[in-house]
Amino acid sequence: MPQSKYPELPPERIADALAGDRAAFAELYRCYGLRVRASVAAAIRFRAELVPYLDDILSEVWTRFLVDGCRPLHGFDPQRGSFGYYLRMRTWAMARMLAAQYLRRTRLVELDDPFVSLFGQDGLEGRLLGRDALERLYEAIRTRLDTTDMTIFEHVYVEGRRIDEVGRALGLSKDAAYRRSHRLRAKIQKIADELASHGGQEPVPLVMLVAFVAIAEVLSDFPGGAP
Amino acid sequence: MRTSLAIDELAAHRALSTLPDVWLDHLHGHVSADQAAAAASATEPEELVERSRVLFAPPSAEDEDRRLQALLDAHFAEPGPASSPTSMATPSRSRSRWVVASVVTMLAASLLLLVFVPRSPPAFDGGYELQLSSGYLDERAEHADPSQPRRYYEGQRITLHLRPAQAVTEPVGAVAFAVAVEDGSSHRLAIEPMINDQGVVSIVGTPQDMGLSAGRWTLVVVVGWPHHLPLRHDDVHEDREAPYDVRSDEVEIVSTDPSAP
Repeated sequence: MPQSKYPELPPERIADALAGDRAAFAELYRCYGLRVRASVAAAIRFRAELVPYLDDILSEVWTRFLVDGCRPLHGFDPQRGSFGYYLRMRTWAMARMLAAQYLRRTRLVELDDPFVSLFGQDGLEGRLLGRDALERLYEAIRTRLDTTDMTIFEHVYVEGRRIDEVGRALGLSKDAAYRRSHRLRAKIQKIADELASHGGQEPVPLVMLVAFVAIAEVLSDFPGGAP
Repeated sequence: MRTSLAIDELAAHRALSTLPDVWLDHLHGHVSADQAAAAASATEPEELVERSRVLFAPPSAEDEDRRLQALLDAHFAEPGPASSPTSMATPSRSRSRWVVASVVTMLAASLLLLVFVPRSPPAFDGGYELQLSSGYLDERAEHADPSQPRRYYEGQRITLHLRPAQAVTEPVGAVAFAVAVEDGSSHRLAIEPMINDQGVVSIVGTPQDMGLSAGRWTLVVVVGWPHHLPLRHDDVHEDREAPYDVRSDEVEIVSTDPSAP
């Protein structure tokens, strides 16, 4: 698994922060705040009209992550990668979902705009494949999908460009591009399901991490001489 | 609860892994804006580079402090005097430290037991009813044999509604599968079920959208606790203790609308 050149907080501090420890959250923010900002920027950078809303979306992302004692982040599974990676993925998806709300303020947004979400959540909570699994999935779709499908995937789903704009560049009508982009979801899911059937992993809940950390901390508090 | 598909995760992964590192470096103050723009220009169009220069500009330390403070004030309680570091350091508290440590150890051990001992998830019973939209025979007001599955032609929109017996206000999730009657092969529908705040589940799409070719299919919709939904049809258990409701109906897909002029 590739390592980020940016530091990670120790797991016990992450657990403390997500359990409501104010000082630990301040450390978490100092450690990951700029990466969260970068993910929001990455989510909207292909759409010029969203640039003025960077800070608003960023604030909303943090607020949504911290509600109910950081509940939306409790799905973090250390077995599937670093917290930094998890937070960046969740942020990107959340920012894309929130961006549609800002688009709607200035104009009517078509339902087939890839930024439009019918849901009130980022969609990745509790369901996040590991980085290596996603790399394998990407390699698989690259070898099995044709150029048109790959172009639609990169431009519509990754970059968030409008489907009609991408369709024009591919010589497809808007309807044809829309149908094709919709079918692409099924194609990629099928490939992902096939890969998963060759060996999946059950998530390890955060509660296990908290329990291990609690025991380790207690044991480390005891010097050789008893009280 | 939105049920995400692999494409959503893969899109997030690709967007982040293809972002030029130099923008993150610039945001952290490791390289200047001009250096970042020059490096990014090698792979990205000028318009995107200029926009990224704005988006990845490092925020001021004051702005970051303000944002952090606002988040702390809104979501984290101020530390009370009991948790100050000096209060734990006095020798006279050593006995209470042992007591606290013992309690914490027991709680942690109990937590581990709870996690490691296999437990069944809570049963779910929403009393859901599945309704399918009209097939083409119904739409044309022709007599349809109720013992036969509803028939849809390939371009026809199919709507599945699952309504609970009473409004379900707790978060629920849903997943849908199609099982070929002919050979029993199954796949997960590529359409994301929509769930409103009353717990009503809707799935709308054409047979192509759902990955249904011509033939007979059993549509299986599973609604229940979000973290206990099956990932594959083979994992679906239809019993009272299951953490979800399972509803199914058979449909037949025909390649064209035979009654069309």
